[in-house]
Amino acid sequence: MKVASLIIGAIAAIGIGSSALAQQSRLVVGQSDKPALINPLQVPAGGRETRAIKRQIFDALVVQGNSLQPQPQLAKSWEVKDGTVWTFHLRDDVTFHNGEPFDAEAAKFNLDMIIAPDSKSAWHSQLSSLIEKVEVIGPYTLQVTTFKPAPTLLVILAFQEMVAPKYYMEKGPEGFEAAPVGTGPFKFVSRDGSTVTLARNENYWGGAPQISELVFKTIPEVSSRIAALKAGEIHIADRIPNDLTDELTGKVKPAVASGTRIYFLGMNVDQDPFKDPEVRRAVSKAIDRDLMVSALYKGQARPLNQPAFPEMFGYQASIEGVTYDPEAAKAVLSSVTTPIRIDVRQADLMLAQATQGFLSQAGLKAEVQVVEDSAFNDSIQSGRSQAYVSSWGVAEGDLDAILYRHFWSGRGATSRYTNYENPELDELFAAARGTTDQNERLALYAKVIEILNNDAPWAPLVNPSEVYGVSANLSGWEPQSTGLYFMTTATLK
Amino acid sequence: MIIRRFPAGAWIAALVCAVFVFVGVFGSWLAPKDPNFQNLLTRLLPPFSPGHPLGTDALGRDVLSRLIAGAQVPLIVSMTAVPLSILIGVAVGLISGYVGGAVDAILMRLTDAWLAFPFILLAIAFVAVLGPGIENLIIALVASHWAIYVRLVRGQVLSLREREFVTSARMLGVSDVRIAVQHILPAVWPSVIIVATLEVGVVIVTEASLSFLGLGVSAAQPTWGAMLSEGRAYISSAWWLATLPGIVISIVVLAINYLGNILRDLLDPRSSVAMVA
Amino acid sequence: MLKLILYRFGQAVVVLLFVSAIVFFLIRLTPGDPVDIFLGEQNVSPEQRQAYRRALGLDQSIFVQYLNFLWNAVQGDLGQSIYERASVSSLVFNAFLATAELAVVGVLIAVAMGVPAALVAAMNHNRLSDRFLSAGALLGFSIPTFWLGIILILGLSVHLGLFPTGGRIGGDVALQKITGFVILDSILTGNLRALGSGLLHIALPALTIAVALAASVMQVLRGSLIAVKEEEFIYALRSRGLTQDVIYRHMLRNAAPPTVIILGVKLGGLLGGAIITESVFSWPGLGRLIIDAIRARDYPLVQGGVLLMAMAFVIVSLITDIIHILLDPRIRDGREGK
Repeated sequence: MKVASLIIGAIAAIGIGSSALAQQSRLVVGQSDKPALINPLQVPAGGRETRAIKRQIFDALVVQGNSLQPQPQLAKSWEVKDGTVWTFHLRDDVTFHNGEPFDAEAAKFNLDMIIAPDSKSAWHSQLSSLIEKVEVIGPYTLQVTTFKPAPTLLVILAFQEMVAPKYYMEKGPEGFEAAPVGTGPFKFVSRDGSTVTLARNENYWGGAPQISELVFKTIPEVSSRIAALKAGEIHIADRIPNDLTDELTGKVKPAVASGTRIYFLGMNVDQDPFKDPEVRRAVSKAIDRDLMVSALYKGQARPLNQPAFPEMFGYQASIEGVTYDPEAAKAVLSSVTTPIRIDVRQADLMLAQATQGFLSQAGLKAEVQVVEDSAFNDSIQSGRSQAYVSSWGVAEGDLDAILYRHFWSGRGATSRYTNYENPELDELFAAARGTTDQNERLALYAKVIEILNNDAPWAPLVNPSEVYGVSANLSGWEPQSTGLYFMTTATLK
Repeated sequence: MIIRRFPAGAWIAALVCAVFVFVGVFGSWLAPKDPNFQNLLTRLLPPFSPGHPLGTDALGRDVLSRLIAGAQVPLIVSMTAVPLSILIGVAVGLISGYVGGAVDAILMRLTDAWLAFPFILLAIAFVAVLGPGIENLIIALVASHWAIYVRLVRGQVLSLREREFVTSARMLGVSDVRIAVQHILPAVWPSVIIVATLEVGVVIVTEASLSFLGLGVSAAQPTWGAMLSEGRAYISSAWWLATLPGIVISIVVLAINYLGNILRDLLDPRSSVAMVA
Repeated sequence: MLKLILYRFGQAVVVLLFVSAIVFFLIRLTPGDPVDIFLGEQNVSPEQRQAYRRALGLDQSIFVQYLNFLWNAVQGDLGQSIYERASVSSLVFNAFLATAELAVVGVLIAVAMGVPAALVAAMNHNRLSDRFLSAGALLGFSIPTFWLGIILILGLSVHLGLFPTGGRIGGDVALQKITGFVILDSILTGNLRALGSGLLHIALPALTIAVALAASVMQVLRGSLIAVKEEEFIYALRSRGLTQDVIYRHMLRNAAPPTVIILGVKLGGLLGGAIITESVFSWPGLGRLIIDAIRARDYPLVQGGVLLMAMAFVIVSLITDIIHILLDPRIRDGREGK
């Protein structure tokens, strides 16, 4: 009897012990939004959360670091000739999770799939308008020819994750989605609704991760996410509002990365009172961004004096830009009689209310209107909103991304937004797109920023940092401004 | 004579309701501070802070003033949505019960279909279609609440229809409309009133729920539901933001329901219409 | 009798038809294009958008779409969710199981709270305990459900740390799926950890739902009990010297019908989704699924979800009606409605 209970006790201890060990190398990330499709070649490609998962399973030719500039990943190095011929030298020590080798043929397959006319990829229109042809020059040498000089090509390539060609052709898009295969540090194991489970890739070219199991869960409610973090159910919680960082105490702590979102007040230049640029400039001057940063974001944000943040290419570090000048603002705004209504999504309500507060103090009759998400998008995309507070993520890290979607006159009927158009801006935009000389581009963007600050279709607000809640047991991981998780060196105590 | 039978609680409840109506109407003049005045430097102050007896919210706005100003929307919305719902619901019930036949069958199936939707969902759908704003909110609330009166009225109309005073009136040549309005309607009113008083509470809570989900009136108007929604994220650091509005709503609804119960006891003590809304 | 039931069944079908039409057209009236939402912030060309619209069948006239929907629905195919890329039926069904589990546990708690309270109140009619319990019921009925949920989270989860703040089961607990009900499955597979976690997670949301429900139960049952208490046959039983427990049982059995009906109606409504409670507790139920689907303009998912909700409501109403008819022979003869 005694022996039996001893044995049972021992087995139990081993069971608990090994499950404890196994548990320790299992890292759970709690995200605020659920992933869309994991297949890089299909839409919906999803937002940050989906990308975070994709980049565990897949690599791309290049990857963005904290500076948002592309660094080598599957491509070791590259050079550009005549502005249109890019030669990439690829790594020769990479295999896909199913054993297929990664080489120039595989890379070509991927890029061809995206630029093909019937492609369902999210990046199809952007890449197919840039890339003329993709050729294999050597087993690990890829040549990409663009129609015209394409300065944004590298950054866009950072978003094109590589899939295993033979496997993809065998399985088809649906089969691939059910069991994706890439070259990344973690292999896909299963997906249950919005929970994705990954396992360590022992043969990862960048060194096998320390964590053996990586799980991504979706916990949309921020209070639940924090609670789950504190309870040890998850080890990383994303999107902690800066306001709530004080909650991260005890066994958890905050980890901060600079953000890539620009929050702004958009003003419809086709509607009163915003037809007058003087009014728009005054509105911009009425807002005390420093106070917003210190009060609403506990200092974990950057006030914006232009529609760009420091890591973005095109950002002008030395200009004064937009300033806080309540007297000058009041002088103009107190004579404006048209009331304004600021549309906003529920999620950005507080920022909009703070903005409205400043405008009211400057003498403007302003009120905030919460609009349901889809209706909001509808309204701003068709250019109907008189004013709105919103944000734009610039993961590409280049001013081009904002110009293309918001200010270029060729942006299309589904991107009206502020209805702003300026032929001078269009010329500068086209010129900046047409050269790969970064110095030249910087000079052109300097002029662009000047125009945008002067014409003020946007009153730039803030660029919040991204706060993550992290378990105190986690080390070897730093959050990235891109929102990606570099997990190979992460360990759990 | 009847007044002496009222328990003490009824007076308190009536007082609460009166305060609610008073504050709802005169709120904008009663609030000690501007409910929309933001001061980012004095955010999240706890109750009993100087100048802010109930503290401030995430934008530095005075909570007490917002609670007072927040009575306006629930009052307006409930005082318009409930009578409108009654109007439509009773009319449909009357017609359905009195006319009978195919009209009755179709109207009843339509009503049942409408009732099969949870109120919240209907309200959400209507607000999504119509957009935000107080008029649309009222429409959404009416749309989700009119069906309750239909069954109630129809059932009674069906039994009343066969009663002697109706059949004799018909034989005398009195028009159907006159019969319906002058004879049947008065008999139906008591139960409608009883349900209506309960519905006022339900409408107030539904409006709060919609505001809570971000589907209420514009954010310029403080409403208790919106305050609850805003306060939810600060639940562990600034508990007063989420608790105070809820307490206020509960007290108001409690008072209304209590009065409704007393009303029911007076009008029809054996009615099984207790708290079924 | 059978004819009555068949008639009711026919009515139910018509009701469902109306429901499907209402939701179908209502959701399409809302501004916001599902394809735009689906594609998000991405730079997709107009041709690609059109291709997607075609693939989803959204380019046809609304009536054609409705007929297609009906035709498929009758065959059991509720379509594919636009956003989730999974069959609507599976999504909706799984969510329904979560809501059903919550509703059932909520009802059980409500009955456990409401029946004894009603009994005590009725037996002490008009005395202090009765007043106290009645006031409690009134309070339970008046508190907004979602606020109660928030307060419970504040007190019991955040401050006392006794209960989790949301979700259906702990993130690190693995449970084999047999019936889809967490509590049943954990019992069936002997998984004590899952059982514990599941019970902890369901406790607060179920309690939140139960409070208002218990208030209704208590109120109605108390009224019926008071009526029954005075009836002759109870005096007869007592004079025969039966113990109090037996008498209670007789009273309850006779007082039950209106309470059962109310419970049935409420259960049907609950199955429709304790939407707000699910939202507050992040419970992965039908209500939350539908709200998210409405936000994303995921037409097929909204349609399928609401249809299932209505079906559940109608079925429960049907069963309640049948039970009512069975329990009360007086109604079997032609009395319509309530």
